[in-house]
Parts: sequence; C-alpha cells; structure tokens
Amino acid sequence: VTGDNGQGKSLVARALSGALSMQGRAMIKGPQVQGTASLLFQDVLTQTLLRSFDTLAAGGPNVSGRTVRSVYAQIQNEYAAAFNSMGGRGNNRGDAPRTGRHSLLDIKTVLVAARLAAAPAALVLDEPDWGLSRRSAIAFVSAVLAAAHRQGTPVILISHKPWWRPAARSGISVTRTAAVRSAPSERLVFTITLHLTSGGP
Amino acid sequence: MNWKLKAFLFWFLAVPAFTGFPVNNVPGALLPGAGYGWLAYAALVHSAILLLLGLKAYRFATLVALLITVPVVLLGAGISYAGLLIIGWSQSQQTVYAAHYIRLAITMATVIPLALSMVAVIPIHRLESHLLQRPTGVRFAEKIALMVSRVFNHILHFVLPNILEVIREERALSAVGTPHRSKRSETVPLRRRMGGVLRMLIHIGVEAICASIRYVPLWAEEISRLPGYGGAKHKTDGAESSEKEKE
Repeated sequence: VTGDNGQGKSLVARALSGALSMQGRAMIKGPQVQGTASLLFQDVLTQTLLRSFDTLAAGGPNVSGRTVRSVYAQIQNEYAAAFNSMGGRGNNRGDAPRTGRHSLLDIKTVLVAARLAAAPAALVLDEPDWGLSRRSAIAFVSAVLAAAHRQGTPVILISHKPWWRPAARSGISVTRTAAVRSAPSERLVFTITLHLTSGGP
Repeated sequence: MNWKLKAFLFWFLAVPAFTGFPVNNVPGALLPGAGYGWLAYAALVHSAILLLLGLKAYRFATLVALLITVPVVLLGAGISYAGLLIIGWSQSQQTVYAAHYIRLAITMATVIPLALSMVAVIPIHRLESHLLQRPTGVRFAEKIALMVSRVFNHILHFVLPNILEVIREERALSAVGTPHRSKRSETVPLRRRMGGVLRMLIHIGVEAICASIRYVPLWAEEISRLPGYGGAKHKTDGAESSEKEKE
C-alpha cells in the first residue's frame, strides 16, 4: 500500500486491523482465512504501552508464550540469514543476544511474533523501516514475510518508500481528497480512495 | 448560541448540584433514595447536554458517567451488603443501604456528565491561541492555565486515542468476553483472564501517566519564555525608542 505522506495509509491500516473506532467493519477476505488483520504500528514504542520485552513475549489469553517465542526465534533466524547475505553497510539492530539489551528491532520482532502466533487474517506492517537502517529493514521484512507465508498469513506492507515495490505481489495506492460539506454543517469531509496498481517483480 | 451563553447555562444548571437547593427540598420519591427532585434535575441536565452540545458529546459524557458510576455503586453496595451479612442481616439496614446507593447512582449519573459539559463547553484551543497572540503578554496564572490546557488536550487528543487504538488492535477486550471474543478464549480459565485484564489495566495506567507528562518539560520551557504581562508592551516600547534613537 503506497501513497504520499498524509494520504491516509495509516488510517487504512488501522481500519483493517480494527484499531479505528468507526461505523461498519473492514475485513480481509483471503483464500485461507478471513477476518480482521493484525497491525504493527509505525510507532512501535506507543504500541508497547511501556510493556517489557518479556511481557510482550509472554503471549496473551488467546496465545501461549511458547508459540510467541517460537515465531520470534524463526523471524530472528531468518533475519540473521537475510542480513548477512546482503552486501553494503547498515547497522545490525538484532544484536540483543550479545548485548543483553533489547533494541527497537527486537521490540518490532516480538510484536510481530505475538500477532503471527494468533494466526490473523493478515498482518499489516505500517512503515516497518521506521527506526531501522535500509539493510536492517529489508532483512526484517523478508524475515517476517518468510515466517508469515510459512503459516499462510498474507502480509500487507504500507510504505511510501519505492524500494519495497519489487517484493509486492500487488499494489494499492492511497489518495485523499477533501471537500467542504455544504449542509447542514459546513464540515470538511475527507475521502480516501484506494487504487489498484500493477505490482510484483 | 455562543459558548459564553452555553457556559453560563451549564454553570447556572450546576447550582442545585452544589447547593442541594431546591432538589433536596422536593417532597416525594419514586423509590427509596430516588426523590422526584433529583429525578427531575437529572432529566433536565441530560436534556440540556443533548440540546446544547449535541448527540455525540452527550453519548461521550453519558458513557464516561456510566463507566465511573457503575463500578463505584456496585462495589460500594457489594462491600456494604457483605458487611451486613457478617454483622447480621437487618431489614431496616438493608433499606437504608439500598436508598443510599440508589441516591448515589442518580447523583453520579447527573453530576459527572454535567461536570464534563461545564469543561467541554469552553473552547480551550481558542483561548490558548488568544493568550499566545496577545501583545500585552501573559500573566503567571494564565501561564499555569496554558500548561494545564496543553496537558489536558494532549491527554484527550493523543494519549487516550493511542491507548484505545492499541487496545482495539490487540482485541484486549476479548479477555473479558466482549463481542470480539474468539472461540479459543472460551477455553481460558476465568482466573487467568481476569489476571490478564488486571495486568493490562496496570500497563494502561502506567502508559497513560508517562505519556501524559512526556512533553511537560518541553512545554514548561516554551511557556516560561512567553513575555510576562506588561513585559511585552514595555519591550515593544523599548524597541521602538531604541529604533528612534538609531534614527
């Protein structure tokens, strides 16, 4: 899902994941699953609600901590392999096992793991490269894609950066228009439109 | 109707809630504790909120009132009746307790929406904008008011919506059996679910406090740099006179 800043990409992500208070319901209808998606927020620090890494990895009422940790380990392994296979520069943010301190990447990984463990209809990644180097971000997304596709969960990637384009099976661009509603109240009404675009490598 | 008239009406409407006059003096009651005076006053307050602030604000005020009133009244009544069971069940005491908690429920369901409306009717953002642009500077009390309004706005428009989005996305309410409940959650023992809810409430409380005060040092610095009342005028005069001297 692409679009310029302020066009409503994050709003679409929140609608799809049920995070938005709204009338009606947005849902994913996929070949294997259908329902509401799960979302990795762009601002993952807000999404943690100041919970520690261990709390996030402990699962919830519907997901066991063991499943979350298993998915976490899968993503971490895939990440390391992808990161090392790429050339070029870029800090490796997945060094928590060595330093003992959890990085932003670890927090993103555990949040994604907790969501994938619940087998959602789809996983939405909102600007997943936020706070990561390009190399680290590409390795992270490819690791998440591998883990998600292994269990049959489609991934919706939201970004205004063009370099994700070759990884996408299909593309949707988001545009927003604004108009003043004349009567009864002169309110500004925003319309968000989704255009299907050609995607894929 | 402008906001000043609305504010006056709400503040005038609050007089019976603060003084008890005349609502406590009206004879007769529908139920023990539910006097006709308070019932009529509650109906008047709710109608006024609906008419003056609209359906959306009315829904919000009523929801907040219910969220506070229901646990307080039920918990209070539960504790009182548990005490009554321990010391020995008495019919007269039971009637007194029932009347007390019915009165409490009606009072809270009236006063909380009214208090919210009294604040909501004030266009805080416009007052803030007016104070920041005033050429004569800002008084110390007004700086405090600016700080309070900024923190209040931040909580209302940033902290609470963010927390609610996270809660909705995580289907956290499914732990207590809302319509989002999945098939799996039915197999989770009640004790574990309630433990999860309690932990979540603690996290939300900590996040709400920390997120609310996150920008306080920044705002305090910014607001403290505003010119004091009269200072801006003197400064302007001083600048003008120095320009004249240069000429």
